[in-house]
This record gives sequence, structure tokens and C-alpha cells, in this order.
Amino acid sequence: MSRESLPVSWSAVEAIATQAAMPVDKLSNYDLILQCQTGLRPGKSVFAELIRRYQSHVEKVLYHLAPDWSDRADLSQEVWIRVYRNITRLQEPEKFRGWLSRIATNLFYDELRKRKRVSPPLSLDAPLNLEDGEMSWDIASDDPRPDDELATQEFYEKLREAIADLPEVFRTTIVLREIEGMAYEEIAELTGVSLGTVKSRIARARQRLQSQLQNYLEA
Amino acid sequence: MTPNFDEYNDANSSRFAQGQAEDSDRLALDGLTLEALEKRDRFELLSAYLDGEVTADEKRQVEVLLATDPAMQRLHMRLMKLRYSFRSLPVPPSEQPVEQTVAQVFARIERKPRRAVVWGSGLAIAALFVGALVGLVPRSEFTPSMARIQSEQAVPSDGLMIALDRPVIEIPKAAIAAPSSPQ
Repeated sequence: MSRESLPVSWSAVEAIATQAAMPVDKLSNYDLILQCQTGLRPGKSVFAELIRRYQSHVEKVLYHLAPDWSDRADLSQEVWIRVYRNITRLQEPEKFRGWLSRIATNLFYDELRKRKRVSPPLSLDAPLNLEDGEMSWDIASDDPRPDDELATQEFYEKLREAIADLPEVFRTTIVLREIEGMAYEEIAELTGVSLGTVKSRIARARQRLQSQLQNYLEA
Repeated sequence: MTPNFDEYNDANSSRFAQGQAEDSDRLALDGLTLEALEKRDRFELLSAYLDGEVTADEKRQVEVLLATDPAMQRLHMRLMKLRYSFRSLPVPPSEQPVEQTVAQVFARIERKPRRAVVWGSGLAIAALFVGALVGLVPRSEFTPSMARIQSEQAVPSDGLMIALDRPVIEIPKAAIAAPSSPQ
């Protein structure tokens, strides 16, 4: 029996009757999410459309949180499985994007914990313990001032490298703020640290990035 | 005091370059001069201001600095550009087409319940098998032996105690090898 044929309540059927007639790719994001919340589990066609629309967002979040993981494609599948199982619990469909980010972030932290248990850092020159104090407040960049014709692409490449070079706790904290737009309180709750630590980590990550990229940022 | 973050950057980097970087926040704080501390606090304040995570008083404080201090203005501009670039940073193209992701997600969603059914059936068959085996075993044999030790069986009689005290069959002494006792 296909999932679409699972019984739904008559009132729900009536409520979505108008949208149901519309092709899924013509639905607004909000209506699409509402349709995914109908019944016990989302219908295949609407859920597939949801993946098509938001997969790039999932990839973006996972990319910034785990730039050096090669199995991000598997993680994004797992994110969608969690969404599939839990979307009916989402109270405010207009907040789907933030909710999706949170699922991806939680999954990232689950994985991070597993990987830390299984394999300690291998790099000999990397500090074993990436706690706050191990990132100096500032490392001035020696890079020459870029010429005017320097491509934006090159700047992005530098920025990408600088972000990837941040110690993990700083990178994830600034990503939660800048990419996921989380409030300090949410970040504190998610990462299990105090509000003051979140504030300090974000400032320190910014200080390091702006210092390393100063020439580009002032150009 | 006029904050100058560029100077702060230079002073700070040289200090760390001299190998005086500390291992914890607390120690790092001890290593900073009061001036550097103030600059750091101001940086933190500006950073929190960008995120809208300041109190009304702090907000006024930052706005006064931004209105009067060119170094603070430059730093603010750099941080705004950094934020914009961070948010618009292109993500490398996806390794796989989205339709492949859709197919893999549904393959996993549809596989899991089936696996659960298989497991469920397997467990049910195993339970039946165990049940059948238990049914075949005679009830008395299956009863734990501990339960069979009844108090009346444990009551000793004098005769039994005597019997236990003496060997039932006389053991001939000749059967024991005579030890070569030292003379």
C-alpha cells in the first residue's frame, strides 16, 4: 500500500482539497509544508518537492558546520529522514527553515560526538584539545594588499579557508549565528555553554576573520 | 581613550608571537594589559551590537563610539562586510543531483518499515519455536530443582547421621600403601 493512500481525517481532506488539485511545484512553500503535515506521514510527491526546495539549505548548513567531512551527502539524507518522521510535530510551519537548520545542526552534533569518541584528531601539529583558550585573539595576516582586479572568487576562497581554519568550537558558533541566524541564547542552549561564552566565541571568531582578511575587507 | 583596533592587532600578534599565548581564557586575560582588555571588551560589545544582543545602555554606548571614533567606524565597516561575505559565501556545488537525494531518502524510508516487519515476523517465529520446545519438555523436568528441596527431606535421622559417620563398606587397611615412615 502506498503512503499516499494512508487514511486521513475528512476535515483535513477538505482543508487541503483546493491545494491538492494544484501541482506540487506550484504550491507556495507554506502550503507545501502544510500538505506535508497532513496525515500520519507526508505524501511522497509533496515530500519530494520539499526536499527539492530545501536541499540546498541543508547542504549549506552542513557545509559550513563540517567543511572537511566527505560524507555530507549521507548526513543530508539522514536530515530528511528526521524531517519526514517529525514534520507533523512542527507547530509553526512558517518557521520551517529554522526548524530544518536545527535538525541539521543537531545531527551534526550527534555525529561529532560519535566521531570524537571513535577517532581522536590525527594531525600532529593540531592541538588535541580545541578549547577556547587555544585560539589566540588575533593573528595578523601578512598577505599583501590585493590589487583592485582581484576576483571576488579569490576573496571568497580566502574567506572559506579562514573559516575552515577556525578551531571547531569557534567555527560552529559563528556559523550558527551567521548562517543559521540563531540568537545567542539558542546557541548557548544547543552547544551547552553559557551566554557569555557564546558572546566571547563569536567576537573572537570575528576578530580573527576580520584580522586575517583585513586587506580584502577594506578594499 | 580612543580605541585603535589596528594597533591592538599589532600589539597582540607580537605578544603571541613571543610565545606568551596562554592556554585558557583566564590565563589569557591575565596576560592582557588593561588597555588591551578594554579594547577586547569593546570589540565584544561591537560584535554583540551587530547581533542585536546588547542592552539599551550598551547600544547607546556603541552608537556614541561609532559617531565619534574613526577607528571604531572602520572596524564596524569591516565587520559588516565580513558578515555580508560570510552569508553570501557560495557553497561548493552539490556532489549529487537533488533527484538522487530524493530517491535515496525514499529508498531508506521505504526500506525501514519493511525491515521492521521482517524482524517482527522473525521474532514471532522464534517465539513460537521456543514456545513449542517448552511445551514438549515434561513439566516436572522443567521445574527448577531448587523448588524441590522440601523441608521434610532435609530432616536428618540419627541412623543416617551414624551411617554417614561410618563408611558403609569396611575399607581394608591393606589397600592403603604403607608409608615409609622414618624410623
